[in-house]
Amino acid sequence: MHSSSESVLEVVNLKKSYGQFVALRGVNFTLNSGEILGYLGPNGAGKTTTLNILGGVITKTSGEILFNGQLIEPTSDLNYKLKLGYLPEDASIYEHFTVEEIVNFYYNIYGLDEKRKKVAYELLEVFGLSDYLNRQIYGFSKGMKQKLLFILTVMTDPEILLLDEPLASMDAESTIIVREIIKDLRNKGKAILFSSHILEVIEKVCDRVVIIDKGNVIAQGTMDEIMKMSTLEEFFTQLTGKDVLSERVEKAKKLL
Amino acid sequence: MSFKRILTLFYKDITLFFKGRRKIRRKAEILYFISLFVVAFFMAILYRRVKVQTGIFALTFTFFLYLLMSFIFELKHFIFFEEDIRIVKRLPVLDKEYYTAKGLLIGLFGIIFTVVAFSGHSIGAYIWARTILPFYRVFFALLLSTFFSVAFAMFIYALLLRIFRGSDSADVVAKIQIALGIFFGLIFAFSPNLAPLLDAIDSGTVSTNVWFRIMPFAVFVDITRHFSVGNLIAAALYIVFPLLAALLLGFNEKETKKDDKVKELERFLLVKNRKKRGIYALVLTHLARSRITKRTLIAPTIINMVVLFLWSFNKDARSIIFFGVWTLVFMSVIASLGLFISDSYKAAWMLKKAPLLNGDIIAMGLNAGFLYIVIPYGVFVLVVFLFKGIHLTNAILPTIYGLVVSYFFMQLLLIVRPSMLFSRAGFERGINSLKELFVSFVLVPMAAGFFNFLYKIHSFCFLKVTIVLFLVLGYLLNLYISKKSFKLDN
Repeated sequence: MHSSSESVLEVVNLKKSYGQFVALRGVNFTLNSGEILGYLGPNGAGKTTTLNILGGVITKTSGEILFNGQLIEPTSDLNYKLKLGYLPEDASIYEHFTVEEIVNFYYNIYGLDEKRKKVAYELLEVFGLSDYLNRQIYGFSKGMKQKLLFILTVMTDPEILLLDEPLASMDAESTIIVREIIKDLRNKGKAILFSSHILEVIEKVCDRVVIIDKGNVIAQGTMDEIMKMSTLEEFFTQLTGKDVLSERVEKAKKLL
Repeated sequence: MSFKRILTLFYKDITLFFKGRRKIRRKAEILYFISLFVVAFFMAILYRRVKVQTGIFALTFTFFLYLLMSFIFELKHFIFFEEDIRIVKRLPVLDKEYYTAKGLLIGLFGIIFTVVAFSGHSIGAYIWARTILPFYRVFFALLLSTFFSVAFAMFIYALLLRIFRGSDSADVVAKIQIALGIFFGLIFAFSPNLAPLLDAIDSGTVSTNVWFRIMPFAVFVDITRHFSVGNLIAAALYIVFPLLAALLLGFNEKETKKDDKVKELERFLLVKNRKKRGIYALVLTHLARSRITKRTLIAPTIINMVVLFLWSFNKDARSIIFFGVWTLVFMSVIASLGLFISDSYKAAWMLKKAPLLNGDIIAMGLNAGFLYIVIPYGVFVLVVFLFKGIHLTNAILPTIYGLVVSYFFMQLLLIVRPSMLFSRAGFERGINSLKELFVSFVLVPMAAGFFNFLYKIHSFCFLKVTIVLFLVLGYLLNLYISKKSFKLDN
């Protein structure tokens, strides 16, 4: 972990409702500089909703978000967004742009300097995408789009990185490269929120972990604290109801 | 606000519009422009009116129709699309920058449309009457119309921005489409009234009457000078209309619960067996619950109703009959697409797996749509005719004409786009857009024009024969569809 870690992003009692449905029921956590915070939970737990709120895509129902100690509204705070890199799970991107055009688009929107553009082109080479510079993104696989979005996200040199299942569709080679880049960015003092439901990835990458279920944070701590008790998988299933889970497995087996 | 970011977003929109279309989309766009040209051209010839105001009418009408079509045909993404909003919200872009870029885009389209429509109309005018429209008037009309469209579009964007600040993207898109539809409906309603202003400017006199006609607030000024029931109603409408729009904007996904007695009555009247009951229930469910169906159906229907109602105050009976027939025939397009483009295709997916003849299902779905959507609108048209003081006998004939042509067109639209119904790929490709655009852009005005022709020469006998002919054709097509097993392309 980065030696002088300090709170960059603070989430206080964050709530989100869609009509009668409550997606987040008061989430609290802190993201420090120079750390990778794992955000773990089963499908539908509220991970993407949290990241969408922090990424300024949707509004919160209530709660507070503090960026470097200042209260902010992510949907409209330009200064915050300029320092934020958000890689969404759905890999949505302007598909009819060519790779070169999308790089230029980010370059202009973020008002970057030429150096950062060069970084993007070099990363395209690292990920094996440099041959596709003049090709429309339309025909890309989801994995390729995710790699491209990852490059675009880090090219902006963000202070905070929000990564929602970044490795979900990537090949083994790219997974290793992304993992190493993320660790390197952590060492350079970036604050990274890494959301995933894959325990193995969280174990390998994260310094601390926040576990969320049904819109509530049910546990959080450093990886060492958690790993002392048991493996992350055991810890996770205990928290989310191991007995119920095994019952469900048995039921499914009988049905099939 | 950063000008660089606005230009980047504008460049992005232009790139996506021109480069982002697959071949079929580009063809559809070209057809839009051709249709626009054709409509403007025929307005000069078919309706035997060669005036600048007809040109403006053609322009605003087609511009309006294009926007309406855009969101009915799901081509709405040329201005707003959900994914765009979702992506942009992740980026360091202010809402006002985003909407300003969109305003520039719609301004550009306004200019292109203006040029295309006026070219069509000028050529039509020249062919019909060897008349060359005076350049300065055409230029002024062009400038005015474009200014009108752009300025108001910008105003609406600013308003929407304020209203929907912080809303989720799907809702924003739905509401913006509805608001835009209503807004252009309103422009459409008042567009012919721009012509007297031009005439007045041309002759050097600008009377209050002209301002009364084009400026909503002038009604309130005029009412202080000249009190009449008509003025009072017009003033009330200017208040009612925004309220109606606000209500529409606020409509949500509440389930509509039908009264048991109504259900029983429906069963008694309509349902002969279980299969049919299932189809009628399916259509009703879509009408009541599907967001996309409501979005497709509600706004254009309300626009049609409001425009026709507003016109009934300041247009003669013959024009009202003509426009009544027009909007009624146009309802066939709205109703068919409301049914087809919505979740119905998903239902068709499920139903094709059930042991049922898919043609029969769709034919029944159409009948239900006609019954629940077009006939009630027909009743409204009849009421407007009667409200205008048209004798019942004279009012019924055009209404029936509109209804039977509408019924016929609904079958026709289905035949040109079955693949859209039965396959997700077909739906996404919009493979039959060209044919349906042809039906809605060319055949609907032609059907209304044909009626106008018959009505003008007072050939009621021929009109009755035409009605019977369309009815028989519509029924035969329905029968054909019900017996047909549509190819289910995957």
